[in-house]
Amino acid sequence: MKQDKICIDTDMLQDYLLNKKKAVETIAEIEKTADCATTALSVFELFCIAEQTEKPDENIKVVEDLIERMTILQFTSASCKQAAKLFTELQKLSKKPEIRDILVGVLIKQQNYIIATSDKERYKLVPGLKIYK
Amino acid sequence: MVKTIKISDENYSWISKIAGKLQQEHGEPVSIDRALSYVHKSKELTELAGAWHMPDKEAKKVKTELKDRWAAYLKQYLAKQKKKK
Repeated sequence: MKQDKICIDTDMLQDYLLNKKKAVETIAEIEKTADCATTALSVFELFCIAEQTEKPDENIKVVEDLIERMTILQFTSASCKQAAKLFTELQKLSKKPEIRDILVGVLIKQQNYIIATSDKERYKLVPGLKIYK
Repeated sequence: MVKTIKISDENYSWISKIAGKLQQEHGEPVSIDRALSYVHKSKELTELAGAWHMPDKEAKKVKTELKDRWAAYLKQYLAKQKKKK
């Protein structure tokens, strides 16, 4: 069984499904050593993207196939509680947190996963969250 | 929901071996159900690279739209919070 736990974010999965070189290389590398996961929210986003395309049926089927091969991290009351606490703290500090990024980042951190994302900046407000190179 | 299924001795022996191997690696009991999940999820992602049928222009558009929707949601949420105060 693979030892590392890496959670792949929506943007990287999207780039991967679109055959973007960097994402394809990164995921191939991750797959060698890690249990690949994504979050329930990324599943929602991927379905949203697929729904909006000119070939929704085909693209939805691809998302279904993809998520069958991955561990899906589910939100728990504990992760939502932590995310709400952090979101409120950041708001008070006028840091302009994005609800989505805080929910996802806290869930991944809480489940002891490392996040693989094409946009590392968006998770900088989640303290202690490990980001894949 | 939990289901009861019948499997052959051969398949039972095969999945039990996998469960045993996982148990050794994890140092904790591994159920047959968990072993089946492991086998199910061990299909590789690799073959799905480029599986989406979407021209670049369309991909860019839907990606931006998704970001815009989240931004709009946050804006709406914060405006409501402000109103409540």
